[in-house]
Amino acid sequence: MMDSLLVLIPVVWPLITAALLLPLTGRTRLQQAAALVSGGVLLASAMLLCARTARGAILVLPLGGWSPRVGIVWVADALAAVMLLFVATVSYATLLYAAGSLRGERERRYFYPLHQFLLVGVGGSILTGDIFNLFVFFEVMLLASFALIALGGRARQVRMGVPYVIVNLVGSALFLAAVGAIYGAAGTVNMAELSLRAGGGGLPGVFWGATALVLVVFMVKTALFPVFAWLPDSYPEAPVTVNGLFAGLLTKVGVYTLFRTIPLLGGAAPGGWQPALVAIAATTMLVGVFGALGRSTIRGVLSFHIVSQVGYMIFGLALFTPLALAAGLFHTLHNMLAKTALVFAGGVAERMGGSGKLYAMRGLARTEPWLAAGFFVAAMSLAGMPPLSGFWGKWFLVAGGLAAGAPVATGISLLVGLFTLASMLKIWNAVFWGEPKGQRYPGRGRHRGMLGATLSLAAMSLLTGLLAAPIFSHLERVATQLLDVTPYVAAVRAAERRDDHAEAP
Amino acid sequence: MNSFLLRQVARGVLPVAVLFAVSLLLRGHDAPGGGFVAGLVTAAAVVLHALANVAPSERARRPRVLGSVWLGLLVAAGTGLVAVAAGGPFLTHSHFDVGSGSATIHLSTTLLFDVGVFLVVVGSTITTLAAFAGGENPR
Amino acid sequence: MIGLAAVLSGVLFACGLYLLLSRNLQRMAIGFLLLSNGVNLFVLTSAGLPAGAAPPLVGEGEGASRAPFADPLAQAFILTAIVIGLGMAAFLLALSTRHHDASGRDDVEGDDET
Repeated sequence: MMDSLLVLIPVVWPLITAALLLPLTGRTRLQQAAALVSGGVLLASAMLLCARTARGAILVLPLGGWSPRVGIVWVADALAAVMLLFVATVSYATLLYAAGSLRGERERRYFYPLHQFLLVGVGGSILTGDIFNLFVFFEVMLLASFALIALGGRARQVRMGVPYVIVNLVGSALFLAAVGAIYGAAGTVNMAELSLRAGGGGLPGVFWGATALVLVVFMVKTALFPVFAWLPDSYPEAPVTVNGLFAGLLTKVGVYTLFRTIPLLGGAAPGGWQPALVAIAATTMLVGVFGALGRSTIRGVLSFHIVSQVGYMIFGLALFTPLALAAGLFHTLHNMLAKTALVFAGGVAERMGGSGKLYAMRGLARTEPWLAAGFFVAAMSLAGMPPLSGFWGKWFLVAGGLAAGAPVATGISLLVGLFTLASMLKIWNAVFWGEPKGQRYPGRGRHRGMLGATLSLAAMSLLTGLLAAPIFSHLERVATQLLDVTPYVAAVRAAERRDDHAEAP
Repeated sequence: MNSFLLRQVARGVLPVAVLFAVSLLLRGHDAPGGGFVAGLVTAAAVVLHALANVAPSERARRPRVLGSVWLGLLVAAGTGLVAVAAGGPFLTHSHFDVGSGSATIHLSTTLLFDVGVFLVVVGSTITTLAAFAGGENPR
Repeated sequence: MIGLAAVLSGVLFACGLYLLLSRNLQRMAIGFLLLSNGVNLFVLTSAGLPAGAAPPLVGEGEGASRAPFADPLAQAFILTAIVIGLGMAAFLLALSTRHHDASGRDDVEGDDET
């Protein structure tokens, strides 16, 4: 029962919390307090789940006792547990940040319930064991994110949000069609069963075509080249809290689904996908970092860097060795912390200058040393300076890339690191360096919650860097577990109940 | 819309639709029907009633049915969790017979789950449609 | 039957995508509805449409072996997808009213920054 609770909580607990927050609509202080308590439970359960799965245990929960071949099954392995832990961390920091950051009744009114619904979608996408429910939870996540990105409903925000909505709707439609085709071709949508049948050979070409379509849809959700353009326009227009939440969670869920599905099917897939994915990852890094150079607002630059960073994570996956896979995972986790911290710091600076434009204000390092310190740590981490977490992510990736024989892409990743540093220094020079000027709303004491959330995320990024050795060795175990699909498949298949399920009257 | 005909029709439709929804809800486990459809039928009837009888200026007012949404969510999640408390997988349903002989009624906890779904659907549909019924909002 | 369903689903796809490319939010909502119906039909078809198949309902006293009947799992997929589509359509319509309230226009104009 303890095990099944641990698997249930990441999805069911936010759902219950959302239901309990709805009657409190309009009483935002109470809502925030309740959401913080609930978030604490989520965080604790994710830690327990991490501990439970650390030694390779795979918890399987067939809903309603149906057979995994036709029913819904949730699976928690070490990868899912680690992701859930970082999701819970980022979402907790977001809650701390939200109170000071959300402006006006319109933004505050529905933020907390929507945040919980978003968590339901994220948790479900991470835990689900079949691709149809992946679609369902993606949709839950999307619907919540649509509402969040339009929160406040300013005309410009709606206008820039529309491409986000439309691209994701079309992506979802293609996803569903591909799931249907996979079901028609393979007779199941359960990922473990699919892996088994793909490994056995003899699946028709339609199956692989549909699988390729699913991967394209995941690429859209992950914002990989060439289907990234929806992200850098829409994110900066959302409220800062939402921007930070999305930067930390949404594309990373896309990355997670790629890490989940590709190892299960990659072994049996037709050759050629690996070099293609390496090329896509390298192009994504380059396009993201160059796109960021052309942006003129703090959050505009940071949002374009999300695209570039996603390239690194997928680079690790595409190399498909335990070392590179672990490096990609490390980079993902590091990025969830560092990127959210950066967006949050940018949001505080934006609030103080009254505008997010670069060079609109200067010298924040003099007047707001703590904010500057938080931004500096997160920015240097993103750029890959030792001993911060980003350095280790890149270090392991470079090692993995060279070992796997991909010197060109590895070189590109180093080059992109250089441009990332330049980009971060550009923000630093424009906003934090020099004589203070143009600060219209200095925030001494007024932005304590926002600053606290930013600093704790930056501190956690620092800590991840200092504890890189134990974390990485855990991720290496996770990567080995990912590449060997046999235990995963066996665990899911073993969940078939011996007796007839309770449905027969 | 101030229409005598519509008012009369709505007056007749509302009770019939609600009865139909209840029958859909009850038979949902063994025959086509269920909480979702029942909720849509009920919401449609309520909205028809509101169109006929509530003045356009009044329709924009937030209807107090949001409670039905969170109550429904709790009922549905709670039904699933009962099974966990009993040691079974989440959302496992149990069945039992009430009464004896020809008066036996077959009941199952899926009905409770369906009631939860019904409440969510009624609440969210009416809330959404009421938001659209606000009419012109020039600015 | 399968040929008809394929053509129909293709037409729905094409019309839906065409409308989604419009700048008018209400057209986008209609386009999304057409697209999602096309997808639903596609899923139903890809699970197989056996000629003369019975609905996947087993009456009182009938054995579960009564064949052939249509695949209930695909229908469950579609049912779920319809519910999701309803939510998305409601959101799109809400977005279009909100956009109209905020800017006084129906369409989304081009991007002025990049």
